[in-house]
Amino acid sequence: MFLSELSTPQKSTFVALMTRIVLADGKVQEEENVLLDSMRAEMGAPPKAPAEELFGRVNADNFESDPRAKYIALFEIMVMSYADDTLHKEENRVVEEVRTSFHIPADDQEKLKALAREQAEITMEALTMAGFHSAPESTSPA
Amino acid sequence: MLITRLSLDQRRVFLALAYRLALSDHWVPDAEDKFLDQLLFELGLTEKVNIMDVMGDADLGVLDTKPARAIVMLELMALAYSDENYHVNESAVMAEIGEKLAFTPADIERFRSWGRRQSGIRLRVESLLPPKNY
Repeated sequence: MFLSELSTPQKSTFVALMTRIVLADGKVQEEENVLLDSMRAEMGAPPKAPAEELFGRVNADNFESDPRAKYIALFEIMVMSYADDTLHKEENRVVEEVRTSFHIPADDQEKLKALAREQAEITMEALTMAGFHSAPESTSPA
Repeated sequence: MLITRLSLDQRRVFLALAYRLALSDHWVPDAEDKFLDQLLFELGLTEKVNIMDVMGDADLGVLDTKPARAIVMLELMALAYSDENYHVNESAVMAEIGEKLAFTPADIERFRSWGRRQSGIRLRVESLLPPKNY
């Protein structure tokens, strides 16, 4: 939704974080793939994720002195984490790591999280209307 | 959101329709202008829009699948609501496009409802973000 605002280094870190979220629960859901494509398009041919950022600490350096970009990244990561309708434990762990690395207050995160869930739902609704996605089935958290 | 699922020809037609919609109320507010910029960025088109397509001659036949037609309607509704004001002229344009794309009034209403809610979420997220150049 706001990803085009990120700088190129920020997009690079965001791609790494997105990849971590998608892989966090050990499987890539169809919904996550569609959302990944959509987010990549929004960023306009984003750079590849640095390998060290896929597994190491969250690289907050690229977001220094840019609080808006931090909030955008956290929000969009939470949208991705809700793509399959459930915030899994491992996904939540990544989200929490991002939040603390970016020094975003928990209260703000909760507000963003509620909207991220709504955004994920409305995205899936659009996919259903466009025939890319069947009606959601209930899933259980890990 | 989904416009990259469109083919190149479909994107060109979509863009012409987007301009037609944006210009229909004779006023392009900042929010709508920014939304158009974002659409252009995502579409990856660098060519100029054919003014005749904007005026009404766009070949809707290239929207030859239901997903493509639905994506066009969804994205146009998001554009229409980007300034929080669904102008009567925008409503008329959407009704006309929807009918040409073989959607029923009930379908068009579902697309409209989706666009309104999508716009609402965007605005609420924006209200939580630190301002630009903080």
